[in-house]
Amino acid sequence: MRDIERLMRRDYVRALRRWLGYRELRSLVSAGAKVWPQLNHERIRLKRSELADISGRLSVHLSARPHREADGMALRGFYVRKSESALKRPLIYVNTAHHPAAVGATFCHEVGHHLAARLFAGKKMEPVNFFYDAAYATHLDDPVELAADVLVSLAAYPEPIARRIFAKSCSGGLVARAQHLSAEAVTQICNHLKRGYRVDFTRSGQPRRDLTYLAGMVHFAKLRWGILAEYDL
Amino acid sequence: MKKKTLGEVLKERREAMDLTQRELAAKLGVKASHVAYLENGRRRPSLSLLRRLGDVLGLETEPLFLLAHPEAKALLCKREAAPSKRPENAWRKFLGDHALLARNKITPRELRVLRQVNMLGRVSSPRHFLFILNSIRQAVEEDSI
Ligand SMILES: [Zn+2]
Repeated sequence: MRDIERLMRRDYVRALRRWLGYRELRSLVSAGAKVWPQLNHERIRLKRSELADISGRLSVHLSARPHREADGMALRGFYVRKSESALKRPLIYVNTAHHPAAVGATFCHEVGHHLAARLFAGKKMEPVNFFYDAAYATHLDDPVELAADVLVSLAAYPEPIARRIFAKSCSGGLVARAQHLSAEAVTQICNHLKRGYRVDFTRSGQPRRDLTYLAGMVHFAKLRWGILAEYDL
Repeated sequence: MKKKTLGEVLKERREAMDLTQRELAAKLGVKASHVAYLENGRRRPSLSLLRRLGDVLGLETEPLFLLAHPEAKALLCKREAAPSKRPENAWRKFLGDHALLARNKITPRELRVLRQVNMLGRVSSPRHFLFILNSIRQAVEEDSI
C-alpha cells in the first residue's frame, strides 16, 4: 500500500524530463512501431501465442513459464543482454503464473529493454534487468527501466485513449506536472483495463496480488499521462 | 575492532558494485562531489537520500541511518533480532552452500548476474536464484544446438 501512495505522489513529468528526451522517446516509439505497427494508435493486447513469434522476429530467446514457488510470484520477468552473458542472443523471461494482462505487460517491458538498448549505447549496462513486482518507484530513478516502461504505457494507453482519460483529469488541457490522478481518471482507467484487458481488481480474491497490480496500474497510467503532458504524444 | 563509518560502508559497497562516484551520483540524482563528501564523512545524507542510497546500493536503510546518526541509537529501544527471512540472508545462505554451488557448477560469471538479483533485495529464498540461473542456462543450451 505504501508503494501505491508513493507512486501517487511522484511527479512523472520530472522523471521523464530527467531521463528521456523527446528525441529518445520518438526513437523508442518508432522502434516499437516496427514490432507493433498499431503502437500508440490502438490498444495492444498480447496473446500468449504471439510472444514466441515476436521474440523470433527480434531474434531473442524467449522463456515463458510459470514461477510460483518461494518468491517466484514477485518476479515478473527479466532481460539478459548477450554481451555480458554466455548467450549468443538476448533472453527474455516472462513469468506466466501472472494474469494474462500482466504477462503481456511484462513481455512488452522486456521488449522495451531490447529496443532501448540503442538509446543507451556506450553506457555501462547491467548484464540483466530484473522486473520485480512493486519496484515501480525505483524505475523512476533509472532511465533503462523507465524507457522499458514507456513502451508498456504506450501499448496500454494509445494516444486517443490517453487524451480522453488524461486531458480531463488535468482540467483545462495539459499541465506541466503529472502528479495526482483525479478520481474520474482512476474510474476511467479501471474501466479501460476491465474492458480491454479483463483486469478486475475487485474479483480475484488475492488482495496482495491485487495491490501489486494496482501499483502497476497507477505507475503505467501516470507514466502515460506524463508522456502526454510533456511530449504531447 | 574499529566499527566502519557510513562513508566506508558506502564506498565499499559502491566499489563492490563496480560503480564510479560519478555513476553512483547519477543514480542518486546528486553531484559526484556530494558522493565524495559522503564517503569521506564531510556530509551527512538527508533521510530521502539515505533511502535512495539503500535502494541503489541494496543496503538496508536502518543500519545506514544509525551510521549517519549514531546518537539516535540510544533513542531506539532494543528489539529482538528479526527472524532470518531477509534477502541478504538468502544470498549468504546461497553463497555459503558450497555443495549446492558445486552441484550446480555455478561459474563466477553466473554469480555476478545473481548478485544483481540480491541487490534488488526482493529475494528471500536461495531456490529463486537457481530458477533464474536455470532459465539462462536453458537459453545458452539452445544456442549451442
Ligand atoms: Zn526492466
